Formats: sequence, C-alpha cells, structure tokens
Amino acid sequence: MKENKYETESEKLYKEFEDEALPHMDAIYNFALKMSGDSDVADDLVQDTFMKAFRFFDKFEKGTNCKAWLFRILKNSYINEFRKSSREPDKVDYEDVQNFYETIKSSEISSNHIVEDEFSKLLDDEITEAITKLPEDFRTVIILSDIEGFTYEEIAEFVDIPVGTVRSRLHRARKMLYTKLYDYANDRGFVKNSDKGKNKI
Amino acid sequence: MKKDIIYENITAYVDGEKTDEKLNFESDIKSNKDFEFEYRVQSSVKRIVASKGIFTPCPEYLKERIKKEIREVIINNVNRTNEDTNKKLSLSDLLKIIFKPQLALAGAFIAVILMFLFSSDGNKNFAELIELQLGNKNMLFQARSNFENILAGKLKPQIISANSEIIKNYFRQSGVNYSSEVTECKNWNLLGGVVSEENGVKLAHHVYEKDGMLIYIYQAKKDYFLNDKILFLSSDLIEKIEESNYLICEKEYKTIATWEKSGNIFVLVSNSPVKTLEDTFLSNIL
Repeated sequence: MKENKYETESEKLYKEFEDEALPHMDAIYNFALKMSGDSDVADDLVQDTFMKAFRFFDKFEKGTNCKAWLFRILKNSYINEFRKSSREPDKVDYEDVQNFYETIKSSEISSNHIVEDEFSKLLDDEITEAITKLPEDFRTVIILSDIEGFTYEEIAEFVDIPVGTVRSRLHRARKMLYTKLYDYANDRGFVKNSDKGKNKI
Repeated sequence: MKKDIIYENITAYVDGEKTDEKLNFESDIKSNKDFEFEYRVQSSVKRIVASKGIFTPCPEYLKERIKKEIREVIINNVNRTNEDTNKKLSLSDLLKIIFKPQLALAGAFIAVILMFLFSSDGNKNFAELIELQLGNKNMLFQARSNFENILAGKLKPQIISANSEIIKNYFRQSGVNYSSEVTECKNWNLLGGVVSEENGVKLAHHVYEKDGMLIYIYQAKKDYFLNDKILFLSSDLIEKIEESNYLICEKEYKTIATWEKSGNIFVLVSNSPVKTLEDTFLSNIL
C-alpha cells in the first residue's frame, strides 16, 4: 500500500504539537480562569488559544519558549475577544492600600513581630480570592511571576511594558496582597495584639 | 538612593532578578528594620501565593475536546489535500491515455480543452484567482484600488484612532449594519477607519501602520455576496476562502490576503511582505 505523505506530515505535526504545546494546557487554563474568573470563559479561551496555536504551529520557532508563545496567543484572545465581556473587580485605591500598609508596617516593626506565619493558617480559597480581587494589571504579574515562574523579561514581553514597570507592579501587587491577607488573618483572629476591625481598608 | 527604588530592588532581589549594583542586600537588609520588613513581606507573599494559591488544572473534558477538534482539523486537511491530488492524478492519467501516438493530434486538441475545463473548476491558486476578480462591485478589486488610493494620499481615514472600540463605534454610528472586527495588534499601530457605501449599504475599512508599512483591511458581511448581491467575489474564490484559514499571496509588490471570520469576509492589502504579515499580524488576529 502506498504511504500517504500528507497523513504522515500531519501526524508528525500533531506529535510535535502534542509534545511541545499540549503539556502547557494546565498552566494556560489556570491563568485563563484567574484572569476571567469564569470557568465558561476560561474554557473558550483555552480552546481558542490551542486551536490558534495549532493553526500557526509551523510559525513557532522550535527550541524557543513554547509556554511563553502560548501565553502570548492567550493574551491576544483575552484582550480582543473576552475582556470586554468579563467583569473587572472593583477598582482599588492604591493610596488607601499604601496608608493601611504603612500602619501595619510601623506597628509590626515596633512590636518586633511580622505577620507571616499567620498567613499559612489561611485557607487556600482565601489566598486565591485575594489574588482574584487584585486589579487586572497587578493580578497578571503576580500570577505570571509567583505561580507560573516567568522571569521579569518574559512578563515584560507578555504584558508589553518595560522590565522596570514589571518590578514596580510586582512590588505593589505583593503589598496589596499582604494588606488583604492581613485583613483576612485579622478577621479570623490569627493576628495577636491587633485592634480587630480598626486596621481595615 | 530613594527609598521606593530600594524597595523595588528588594522585590527584584527576592525574585532572583537583576538589582542595582550599589546595594548590598545581605548586609543592608539585616541592618535596617525598614528594609527587613519589606524583604519579609515580599518573600512571604511570594511563598504563600506559590504554595497556597489554588492552581486549577485544565479539566479532562476540555483537554479531550481540544485534542478531538485538532484531530478533526488534521483529518479535514488531509482529505482536502488528497482530493486535490486525486484530481491532478486523474487529469494526468487522462492525458497519458490521450497522448497515445496514433491519437496525437486529436489528443493535443482534447488536452487543451481539458486543461481549460480543469483550470476553471476551482483548482486555481489564490494568485490566479485574484486576476479574475474584476469589476466595480468586486471586493478584491475595490480593496486593491482603495489601497493604491491610500498610498497616493487620495483616501484618508474618516476617523483617526488607535482604539479599536472607538473605530467600531464609528462604524456602527455611520450605519455599518453588521458586526465589525477591529483588533488592536502589538506589532502594528491602528490608524483609523473609513466607511464606504455600495448600493446604499455601508461598509467598514480600517488601516494599520508600522515603519512606513501599511495594512489596509476591508470587511463585509458574507450575506452581501451570497444573498444580497451587494458585493461580488467569484464563487470559486468564496469556496476557497471557506475551506482555508486564510489565503495569502504576493502580487505586484503587494501582499493580498483574505479570510472569513465571524460571518464576515475580510480582504487585506499591504506593502509589507507575506512572511512579516503572517508572523506579526495574521498570527495575532486570527
């Protein structure tokens, strides 16, 4: 029987795609879900991303970072087709966060105690909720850096901002998260010697 | 050094990224309570997000759905390619039979007729099909002519904006009666849009620019070709568009592409090379 070269080529392409791209489905889904906050939207985003990736897989430069390439495709789909329909969390006034942060800071430095072990008592859901409530720009850098392990340079390329802005956004994002987690820990009585309810944003 | 800059350098230090060479973190952080606090906040939040932020893996049903859809794409492509090959084979087989020595003259005549018939049955490539798109109502013909007018400065955007939503709003307000797609693209600067009119129907056009290169996109509802006959494209070209992700070729130093998306037919004309367009534009918007 004569070998069909088109079948062979397609099989080869699919095998390469399976090896290079499909292992990143979990990371892409997790990011899509955290960004959209909606599992139906995340499903559509991931499907759209992988169909596009397969369509343009011959353009992918072998040996380069496939995960970063997939994230770029995801970002384009997210910006162009899904962001408009998804609900953006309430805006956070960074000045309020900064003031609250400074209050915690001075009280913790003077009492020689830093609330961090208390955070480990918080539920995973509470941590995830705190991340989801961050404004989109800050949420993006936190997920890419602390969950996906991207470098500043990769994040800069993904978000299309300078590396210095990535650093500054991450710094602020972690401060925001710290205040949010402090709030949760305080509400649940994990923070000793705190004036419960007073230190709130 | 300003405190804020030091704080941000502490963040970079926590992340193992490049920091300002003037800072000696090991000693500076330990000797200053303020810096130590910042360091512990940054590192503890990083640790807690990595360890306790819920990582939701892709559900199995979705993985299977995507794999199935990709396999279907492959099967369709293989079938289409095989059909094309089979057509070519049957033509060459026919020619072999016709070109038996005793039938040489008659065979040559029949071959010419056959080649004519086969060349008009949809087997033409995109570059050849473009040549057949003529007439004032033909979308490809209009697009090529509009692009020349843009380059000559005769056709200017009616709305200038880099914001896709503003351009789409303009299309809607100007009477474009179908859902238009205008995409912001990292590598190309959106310039603006134009609304034209054909038999009382408004049509949407928009333009991108990068380093002296232009991309002009004309989009129209597919119904305008099929039912309403507002615009025209040859049926073999429409068939080819339906079968492909996109069609692209270079013609007279211009790149021409066409595709179908969300119920619209798109025609792109650009002075940028095919490869650049595929890598920097089409891969982002399709």
